Amino acid sequence: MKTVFVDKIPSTVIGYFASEGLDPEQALVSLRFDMCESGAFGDCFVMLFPDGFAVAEGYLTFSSAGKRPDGLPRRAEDFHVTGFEKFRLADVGEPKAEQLISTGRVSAEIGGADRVLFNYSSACKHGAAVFCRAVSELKKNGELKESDFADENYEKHVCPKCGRRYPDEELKVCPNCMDKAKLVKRLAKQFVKYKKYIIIMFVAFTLTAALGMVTPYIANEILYDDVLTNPASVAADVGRIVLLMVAVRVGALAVNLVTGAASATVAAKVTYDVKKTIFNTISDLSLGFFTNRQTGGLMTQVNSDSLTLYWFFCDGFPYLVLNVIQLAVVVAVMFTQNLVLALYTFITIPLFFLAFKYLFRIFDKLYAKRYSRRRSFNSLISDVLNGMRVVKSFSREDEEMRRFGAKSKEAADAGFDLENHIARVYPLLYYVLRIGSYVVWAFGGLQVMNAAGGMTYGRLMAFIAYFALIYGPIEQLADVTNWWSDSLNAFQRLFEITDAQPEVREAEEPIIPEEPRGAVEFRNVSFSYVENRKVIDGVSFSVPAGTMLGIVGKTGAGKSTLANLLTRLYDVKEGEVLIDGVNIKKLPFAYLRESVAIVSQETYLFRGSILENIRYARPEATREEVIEAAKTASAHDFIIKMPDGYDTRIGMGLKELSGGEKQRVSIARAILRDPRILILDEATAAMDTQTERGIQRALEKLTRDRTTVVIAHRLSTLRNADRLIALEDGKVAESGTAEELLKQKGVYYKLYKLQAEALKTVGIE
Amino acid sequence: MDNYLDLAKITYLDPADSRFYVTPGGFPGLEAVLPEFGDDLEQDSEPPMKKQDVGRVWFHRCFPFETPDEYISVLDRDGREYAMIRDVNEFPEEAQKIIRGELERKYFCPVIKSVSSLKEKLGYSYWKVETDRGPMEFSCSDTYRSIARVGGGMLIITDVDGNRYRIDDYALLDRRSYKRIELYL
Repeated sequence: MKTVFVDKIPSTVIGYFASEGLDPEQALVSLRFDMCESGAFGDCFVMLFPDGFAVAEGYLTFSSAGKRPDGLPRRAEDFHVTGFEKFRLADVGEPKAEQLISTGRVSAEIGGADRVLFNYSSACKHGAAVFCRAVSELKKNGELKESDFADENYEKHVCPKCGRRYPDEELKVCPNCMDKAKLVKRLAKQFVKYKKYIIIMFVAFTLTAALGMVTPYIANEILYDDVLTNPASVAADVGRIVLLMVAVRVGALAVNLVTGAASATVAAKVTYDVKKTIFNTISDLSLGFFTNRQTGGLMTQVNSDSLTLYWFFCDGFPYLVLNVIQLAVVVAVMFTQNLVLALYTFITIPLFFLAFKYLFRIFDKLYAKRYSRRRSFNSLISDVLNGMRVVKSFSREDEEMRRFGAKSKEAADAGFDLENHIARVYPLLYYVLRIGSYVVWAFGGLQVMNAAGGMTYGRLMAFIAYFALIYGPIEQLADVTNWWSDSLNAFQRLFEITDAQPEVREAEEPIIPEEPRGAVEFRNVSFSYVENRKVIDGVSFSVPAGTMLGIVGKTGAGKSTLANLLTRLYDVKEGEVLIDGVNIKKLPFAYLRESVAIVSQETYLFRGSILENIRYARPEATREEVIEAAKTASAHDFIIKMPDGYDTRIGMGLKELSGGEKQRVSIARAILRDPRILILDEATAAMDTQTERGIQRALEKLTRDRTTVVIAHRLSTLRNADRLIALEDGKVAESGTAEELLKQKGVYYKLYKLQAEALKTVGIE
Repeated sequence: MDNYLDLAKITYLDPADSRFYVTPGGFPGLEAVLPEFGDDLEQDSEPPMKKQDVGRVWFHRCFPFETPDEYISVLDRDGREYAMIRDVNEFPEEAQKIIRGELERKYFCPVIKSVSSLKEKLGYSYWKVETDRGPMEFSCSDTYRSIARVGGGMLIITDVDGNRYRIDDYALLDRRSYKRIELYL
C-alpha cells in the first residue's frame, strides 16, 4: 500500500519510530500534532500502518551543532519522548475527533471504554480529520485510496512562494509576499489604460510649474532691478510687461482647466472600473465568504474605499506629480541663481523630512483607527435599522440610542484624535520650515548690502518668492501623508477583496451532459461547514429524472445543506453530487444554474417591482408568461389586489410583502425559470394550509415531468413524492415510498403519528 | 401563571446524591438521579427520573466568560442535557477535581500576559505574545472581528485556525502591550 498523507516529520522522530520497531517507510499516514496528553502544548506524532498505528508524544528541542558546509548554522533536533503507544487496528473502535472550544481530541473505544488517543489544537484540525477518515476507511475496506486524501484545497492553503499558510482561506493572499510597493505598482497598472489623459496631465503640470517660475522673475527682477537701475527703458516697455504678466496668468488658468478636466475624467473612469471589479469579485465569491463577514462592513468597503480611490486619482496623485516637478524646478533655479544662499535656505529641510517620516507612522495608525471605528459604527446603524421591528417591540429604543451614542462617540473620538494631532503638529512643523526664510532674509540682505555675488534687491525678492514656491509643494507633500496613508489602507482592503479566490470554482474544462434530463444522484456525500463537525455524513440517494423526492427530518438534520450542495453554494467535502451522470463540479456554472432552481425558506426579493422580481429568473419572459407563473404560484390574486398590480414596487423601505406572499412570488420566479431540477426547501412553510393546497395543485402540474426535491416538515407537503428519505444527524436513516416507510415504523412513522395526533387533538381526523 | 419560570424546570444535580468518577478511559463519569432518556419522538412528557450510572458525561458551560464555575450543563453523548451543575464549589473536592479537569481541557485557552509585537499586513495581523504557557505566535484574519470583548475588560482573541487566546483585563496590561492592541478595541 502506498503512503497517502504525510506531514513534515523531523528525521529524529522518524528515527524514534524506527527504534520502536516500526518501519516509517511503510506508514500510510504520518501526521504531526501540537499538543500532549495533558492538554499542554508539545509535539505529537502519529503514524498509521496497515495493521495499526502508533502515537509518540514529547518535545522537540533544537540545539546548535556547528556549521553546515555552506556556512549556515546547523540545527540539531532532539525528540524527548514522554509517551509512546502502539495500537492494533483490530482493538480500536472508530476514532472520533471531538472539537472542543479551541482545541480538540481524538478518542476511540478500546476494550469497551472511550479513551483519548491524542490531542490537537485547531491548527491541526485537518490532520485529525484525515486520521479519523483514514482509520475508518482502513477498518472498512482494508486499504486507502490515494485520491480520497489528495485534498487539493488543503494544499492551496499555503502560499506557494514562502510556504506560509494563508491567513484567510477564502482570500488566497499572502501578506508576506505582497508589499506596499507592489500595491502601488498594481495601481499604476490601472493607469495604463488612460495613457492619453495622463500624458495631457503631465504636459499640463510641467507648464504650470514653468509658468509658476516665470511670475516671480517678472514680478521681482524686472520690476525692482530694472526699474531701479534703468527707469526710462522700463517706462517705454510698461505696456508689454503688463501684457506679459496677463498672458502668463491666463496661460496658467488655461493649463489649470485642462488639468482639472483630465484628472476628473481619469478618476471617474478608474473609480468606475474599480467598483465594478470589486462587485464582480464579491459576487463570484462563494457563500462562505459572506457568512464570515458583516454586510455593513462590506458595504463601507465598496463605497468608501472606491471613494478614497477617487480622491487619490483626482486630488492626490496629480498634486503629488505637480509638486514634485515644481519642487525640482524651483530648487534647480535657486541653486543656479545663488548657490550659497540656496544652501542656507535648505538647512532646515532635512529636519523637516525627518519629522515628516515620523509623522507618516503616527498618522497611518490614526487613520486606520478612524476607519475601523467608522466601520463598526456603520455596521451598528445597518444592524439596528434592519432590526427596528425587534427594537420597537421590546421597547429598547433607549438602549439602542445609548449604544449608538457610544459607538458614535468612539468614532468621533477617533476623528477628534486625528484632527487634534493635525491641528497641533502641522503649525509647529510649518514654523520649523519658516525658519529657513528668516535665514534667507538675513543672509540675502547682507549679500545685497555688500553686493556680494552680484546680489541685487530684486534678485533677493525673487529668491524669497521662489522660496514661497517651495512652501507650497512641501506643505502639500505633508498633506499628502494624510490621503496617502488613507489611500494605502483603502488599497490594501481593495486588493484583499479583488485577490480573493472563491472556494467554489468553475471547472477549467467544463463538461455538458449530452442528454440533459435532470437526474440527480448523491454518492456517499459528506460535508461540514466547520472541520470535524459533519453536517452531512455519507449520504447517498438518487432521484431519477422526472420524479419527486421528499426529504424529511428534524431541524438541523442537514436538509437545507443538501439543497446548498446541489446548487453548489458549497462544495462537498467527500463523495460526489451528479446531475445526469456528471459531477456537478465539472458542470459549467451557467448550465448548473439554468438546470437547478431553488425556492428556499429564506426568500429574498430585490427592490423593484413585482414584475421585475418575477422576471429576475428570466428577463426576456413576456408579460403573459409572468402572469401565468404568478397564477400557478397562487400569487396572481394578491398581486392584482394591490393598487399598482404587477408594477407595485416592493423591497426595503417600500411596500413590504408578508412572508407567505414573498414565498409565492419566489415560487413564481422559480416557475418562470422552468428548470429541469426544482428544489423546494420549505417553500410553503409560511403559508396557511388552504393556500398551500392551492399551490400544491399547481406544483403537481409543474413537477409532473420535472425532477423535484421537496424538503418539508409538514408531511402533507410531501404526499406526491415518489420516494422519501428521512435524514437523521446528517445520515439517511431510512428511504423508500411513503407506504414502505410507514411499515418500517421508523423515523417517518413516528413523524407521521405525531402529526396525525396533533390533528386529533384539535378534533380532526 | 405568574412567571414563565413555571413552564420549564431546570434540574440541578444534588451534590449530596451525585457521584462523579473517572471512567477506565480517563473521562468523567456520573452516577446520580437523572432523567432516563427514551426516544425523543415518542416522548410526550418529561422523562422519568431515576438513580442510575450513566457512564461518560460531557460538560458545557452556560456562561463560559462570566460565571465559569456556575451553570454547567451535564450532557450525554448526543448533547441531551441530564442536569445542570448550579455551582461547582458545592460539590465535594474529589468531584470538583474531576469536573474542573475536564472543563479546563475543554476550554483550553492560553492567557496572554503581554503583547510583544503586533504587525498588520494587508488586513491580517501577526501577533507575538507571552502567555501563561510560554511565548506564542499567531495570526488573525479580520483583526477587529477576531477580538471579542466579553464583559469587563476581558478579550477573547480567535486566530485563523480557530484557536483562542484570552486577555483577562486589557486595562491591566503593561503600557506597551496596551498601546499595541488599542487600535483594535
